[in-house]
Amino acid sequence: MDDDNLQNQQQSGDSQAYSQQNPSAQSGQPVIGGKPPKKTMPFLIGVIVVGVLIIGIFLFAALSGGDSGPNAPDAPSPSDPISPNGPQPAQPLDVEQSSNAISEDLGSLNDDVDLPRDQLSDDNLDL
Amino acid sequence: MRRAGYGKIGLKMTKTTQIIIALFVLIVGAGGIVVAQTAPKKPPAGGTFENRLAQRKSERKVQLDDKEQRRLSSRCTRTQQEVRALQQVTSRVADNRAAVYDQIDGKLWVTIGRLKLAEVDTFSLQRQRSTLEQKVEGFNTVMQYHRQTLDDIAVINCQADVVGFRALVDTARIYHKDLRARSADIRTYIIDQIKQNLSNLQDKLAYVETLQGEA
Repeated sequence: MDDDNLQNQQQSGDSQAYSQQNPSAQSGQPVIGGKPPKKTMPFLIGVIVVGVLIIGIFLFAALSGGDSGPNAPDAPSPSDPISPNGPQPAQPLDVEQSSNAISEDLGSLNDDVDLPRDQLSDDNLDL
Repeated sequence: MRRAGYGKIGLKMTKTTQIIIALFVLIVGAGGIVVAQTAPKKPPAGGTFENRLAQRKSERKVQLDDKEQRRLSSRCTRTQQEVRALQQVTSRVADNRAAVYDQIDGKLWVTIGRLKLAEVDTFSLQRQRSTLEQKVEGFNTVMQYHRQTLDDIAVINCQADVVGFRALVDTARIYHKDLRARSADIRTYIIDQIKQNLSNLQDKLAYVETLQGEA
C-alpha cells in the first residue's frame, strides 16, 4: 500500500510538472497516467451552441425582417394613390379626392388665428 | 350791387380756394400715407442688426415729439416682452404654413402625374402649380423678414433708441399686413383657379370614360 501511494504521488507530481512545462497538457490533451480535464468539452459545446444561435438570429433577421426594416418603404395605405405597381392613370374620382384633400389642407389654415388682424396693435403690444 | 357782386365773387373765390386747399391737403395726405405704407426693402443678406436698424429708420422716417418719445421709452420694454411671446407663436405658424403648402404642392404633383398617365393635357394645371409655388415662396420670404424684424424688436435697446424701435414696430406691422394679404391671395387662387381647373379636368376625364365605355 505505501509503495503504491508513493508511486501515485510521484506520478501526479510528474504530471503537474509536465503540465507546467507544456501548455498543451492544460488544453484537453489526455495525459497518460494522469486525470483528463473534465471542463473542456462542455466549454467547447457551449461555444458552438452560442455560435449557432448567433448565426440563426442573423439569418432570421435577414430573412424575415428585410421587408419591415427601418429603411423599407411604408406599405401603401388604401387611400394612397400610388399602388404597388406604380402610379395609375387618374380616374375622375381620384381628381375629386385630390381636390377635396387640398380643401382640407387649406381649411386647416385660419388667418384670423394664425395672423390676427390686431396682433401688432398698440393694445396687444402694450404700447 | 357792386358790393353784392364782389361779395359773390369773393364767396366764389373762397369756395374755389377751399376746394383747391382741400385737394392739396388730400393729395399731400395721401402721398404721406403712401410713403408711410411703402413696403420695406429686402434687408441685405448677412447684414448685421445695425445695418437693418439703419435701413428701417431710413425707410420709415419716424418723427416723434417729446411726449411720444417719453411714452414709448416708458412702455417699450413691456412691448418687447409681448414680442418675445409673439416670436414663438409666429415661428409655429410659419412652420405649419410651410408644411401645409408643401402638402398641397405634393398633392398637385401626384395629380398632374396621374393625369398625364391618363393622357390628359395638364399644361394649365402645371402652370397654376408653378404660380402657386411662386406665391408660396413670396409668403415664406415675407414671413422670414417678419420674423427677423420681430427678433430685432426683441433685442433693440429701445429706451436708448426710441425712433429705431418705432421704425422696427412699424416695419413689422407692414410685414404682418402683407402676410395676411398674401395668405388670402393664396387661398383665393387655390379655390378659384386650381380647384376650378381640377373640377374641369375631372369632368373631362368622366367624359373620356363615357366615350370609352360606349366604344
